[in-house]
Amino acid sequence: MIDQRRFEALYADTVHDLRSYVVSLVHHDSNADDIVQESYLRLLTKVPGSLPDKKCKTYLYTTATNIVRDLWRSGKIVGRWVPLDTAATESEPARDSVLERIDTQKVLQSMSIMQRSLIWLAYAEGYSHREISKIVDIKEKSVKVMLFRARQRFIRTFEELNIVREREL
Amino acid sequence: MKLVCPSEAAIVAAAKSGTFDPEQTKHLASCADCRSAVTLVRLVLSQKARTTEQPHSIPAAGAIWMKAAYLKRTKKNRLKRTALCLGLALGMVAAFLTAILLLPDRTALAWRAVVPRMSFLLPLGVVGTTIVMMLLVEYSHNLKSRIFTRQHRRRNYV
Repeated sequence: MIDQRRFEALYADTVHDLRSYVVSLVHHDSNADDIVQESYLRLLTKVPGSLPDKKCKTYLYTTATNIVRDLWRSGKIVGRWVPLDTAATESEPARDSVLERIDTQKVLQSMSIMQRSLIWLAYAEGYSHREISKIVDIKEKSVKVMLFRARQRFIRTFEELNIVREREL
Repeated sequence: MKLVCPSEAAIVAAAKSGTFDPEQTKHLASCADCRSAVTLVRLVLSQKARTTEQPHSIPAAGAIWMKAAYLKRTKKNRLKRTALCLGLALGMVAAFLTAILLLPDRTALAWRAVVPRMSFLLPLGVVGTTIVMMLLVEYSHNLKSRIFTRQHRRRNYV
């Protein structure tokens, strides 16, 4: 088990980033707090104390993603896990709710949980494609493709919302 | 078609730090993908900053560490108890078999004839005895902790 001092330093270093990541996935603060706490508990009870900090951090993100996935499977988190492939079936933001959904959180909410996860890990946390593939448990090549699509979707949705807002103004 | 611009990683890192060198600025003017990546980084980071400022209810590091230590200790104790029960069960079965061997001649002969035919029951016997022993040990442990809690309450509150 990781010793208390080292854990306190690791906690101080990661808690805000990890919480932001989980909030971006579940959009529910108390759920996010529980998931973060559980991730730390699993790190302490299941990981040997000799694991380097960088790997501990990756372990935390992987565990948090797995917990979110389990909650999603049990129906406690709503939304799609992976995006639908065809653009035609993707729901466009409704015009009347566009003004409410203008901020980034709303754009993220319109995406699948996997897309949110990829976007956050790549652009907020700065993980490489290889590290992301380990965290979300998909192939590295799939990360590239899915991240590309997620980014296109994010930017497109954001621009559409902005255009509509400008028209409204 | 390339999904990722070769300069994207460097551009994203620069966007996170907030400073671009002249080469990167030049590249940004000509690469729409990198421009969208920069936009994305800015939006996501502002969202992250907003989330970080929010108060949260995650316990402090020390509390989480103590809880984990307690969970680990409980798990270790349970493992110890299981090993103890298994040892006890094996001991009881061995004692039973030894007793058969030590029985007076006639009875022993009868048992010695029966035991090899019933050898398939031996693993079942070990497992069954283990379960019974585990239940007994668990019960005595719970009883002990209950008595301890009661005494503790009496000592402190009554």
